[in-house]
Amino acid sequence: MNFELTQEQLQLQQVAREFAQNKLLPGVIERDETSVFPVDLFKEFGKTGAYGLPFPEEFGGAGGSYMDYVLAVEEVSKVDGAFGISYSVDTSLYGGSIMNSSAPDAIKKKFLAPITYGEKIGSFGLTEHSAGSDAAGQTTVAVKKGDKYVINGAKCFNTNGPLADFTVIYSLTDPALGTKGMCAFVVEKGTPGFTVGKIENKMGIRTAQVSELHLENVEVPEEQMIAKPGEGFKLAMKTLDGGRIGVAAQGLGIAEGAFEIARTYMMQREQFGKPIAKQQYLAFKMAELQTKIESARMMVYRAAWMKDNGKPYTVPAAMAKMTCTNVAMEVTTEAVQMLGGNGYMKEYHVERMMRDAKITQIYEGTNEIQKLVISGQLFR
Amino acid sequence: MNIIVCMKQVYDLKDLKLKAGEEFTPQGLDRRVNPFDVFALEAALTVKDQNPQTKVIVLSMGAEHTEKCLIEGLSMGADKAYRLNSSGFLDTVATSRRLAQAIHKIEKAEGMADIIITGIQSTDSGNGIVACMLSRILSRTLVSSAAEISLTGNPSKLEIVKRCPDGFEKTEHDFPLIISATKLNHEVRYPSFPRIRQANQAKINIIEPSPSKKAMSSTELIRIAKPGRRSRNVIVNDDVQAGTQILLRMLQEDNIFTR
Ligand SMILES: Cc1cc2nc3c(=O)[nH]c(=O)nc-3n(C[C@H](O)[C@H](O)[C@H](O)COP(=O)(O)OP(=O)(O)OC[C@H]3O[C@@H](n4cnc5c(N)ncnc54)[C@H](O)[C@@H]3O)c2cc1C
Repeated sequence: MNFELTQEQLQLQQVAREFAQNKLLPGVIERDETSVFPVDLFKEFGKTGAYGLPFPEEFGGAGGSYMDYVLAVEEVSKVDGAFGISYSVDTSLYGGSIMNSSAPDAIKKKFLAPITYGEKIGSFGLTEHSAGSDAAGQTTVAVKKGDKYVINGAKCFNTNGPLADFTVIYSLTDPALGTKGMCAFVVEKGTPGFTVGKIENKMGIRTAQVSELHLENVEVPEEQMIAKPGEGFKLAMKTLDGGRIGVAAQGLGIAEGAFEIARTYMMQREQFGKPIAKQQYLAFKMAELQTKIESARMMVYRAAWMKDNGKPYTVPAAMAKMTCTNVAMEVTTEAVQMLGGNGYMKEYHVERMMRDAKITQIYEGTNEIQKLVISGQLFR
Repeated sequence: MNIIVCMKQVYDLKDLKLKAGEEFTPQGLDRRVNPFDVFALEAALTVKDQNPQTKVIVLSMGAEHTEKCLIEGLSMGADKAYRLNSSGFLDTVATSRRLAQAIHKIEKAEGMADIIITGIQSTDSGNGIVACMLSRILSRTLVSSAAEISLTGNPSKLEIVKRCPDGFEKTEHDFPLIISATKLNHEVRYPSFPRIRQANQAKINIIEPSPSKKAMSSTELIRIAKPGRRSRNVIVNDDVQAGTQILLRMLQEDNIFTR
């Protein structure tokens, strides 16, 4: 057993940390207010190979591990949670769909390599208005026509949707078959009939672009079908297992970011003649929060380790996602409290972090759905 | 083209808090690459961007732990790394002489260096004279305070934008050259993650020093401590003999001299 990061991982963590501090931090408040996605910064960070960290080099990846990827998502999320999810969806939901699929290697490479260094952006279309927690309730349909498929339907809440060059669209071949007929395609931006619908106006992660995607007689070549009919649901679930580790890392990062702001503030802010950090009530609270952050960290690192080592990770990923995101919500809420009135003001960051934290408990399976996953294997 | 970049592993002094008179111990301090040496490497890499045939070699003197800074150099884009084995304190003269010897050895193996770049100073000892000494020992032209370098013309020369107190000075030079780099006019690149992995697996070449008498330290390190602060200015009016004694005693009292 070894709890130490490798020299390589420490170095990678440092690079991500410096990028977050030097590039993401300036302007993060303004971006939150204007809801503008920092395309240039996203591309710049991409040059490090960050988005391809968990993928093998033969597919254009950076040849690292899931653990490496977790460290990078954690670091950027300490400063900018919205950047964290755009990254995470790009890598683990879009990239993960491609890598986990049974598509031929050439197709995998074709659709994975362009995103790993940030030249192209990916998104993941599973959720529909009628299919949220119950992803099987889909109505988008793909019908075979010659060597193409024609897709009709609509997706909603697509992170990176308006930006994406490639989107994995999950759809049914025959509604009567339900998930037994679920398949998945890579649909390219600009394909006739494929359009961006309503762009959501959100509580948090405001710079992440989340939208509806409409599909009206969208013709896609058969080779872009990455999951054959009947394989789509499994692909989506497997990919979400990996995605949840990414969201867990995002939650952990947000919690750590808010914790550090509160910690420094408490040493400076004086009331009743001494720094508020000297109030044992507050100091104990911080001790509890730090302990929770550490336990969350252990859970997400372990889930990533299990994935990297070929062990079953569905349940560890669900547990990590639930733990880290609950810790994110608790720590950010308490951080606002620690800063008092200032905590409620935008320039102190923690109110944004609190708004960002909330979504982590909802997407990629709400925390109730994580309990469904965990309890599902308990009483089999 | 060959470029040798000298990189030093320094203590990260950002969290160092010493009281007046308190002795410095490196305990608990992280080590990092001297930030000015990162500028030196970045400058070298901009030449490599222009001419991809360029071989960038990083050189660091120190014990095994200094390899960490060479790995960082390789991660950013250097092609080869050499560590000049050394431990314990060496003064700047000895350091420069040993580096010069190592540079000769590297040049034997890799070919002449067209450019040697160092950071303008280190953030720990801060002497800022290694580049000057190398220039003297190796008899090569020195250009200090470079904020930007680039190849120009055919046959190529090096254009250097030098940071001066009131602005910048642009000059053109033939090779070989020694340059000291200061804060650059452009950003330092982030290493890519695949390069980080390759760097951690790369071979670090070790050079054992063969120090001549001249390359031994002529200064002995006794202790490093934060000077005590005098709250008032003192003017000593006594004659030279007596005045010197008084000054010496005051410096001893403030822990600047210990014997
Ligand atoms: C900002 C944002 C970004 C998103 N990004 C993406 C994306 O990129 N791609 C994508 O495909 N989707 C995305 N989603 C969709 C997201 O995954 C879903 O919103 C989420 O899974 C919940 O589905 P729902 O909103 O339909 O809620 P519902 O399923 O309607 O749930 C409502 C409530 O009921 C609870 N609930 C439902 N079923 C059960 C049950 N069986 N037992 C107990 N409680 C239950 C839920 O936990 C929740 O509290 C995103 C959503 C948001 C808000």
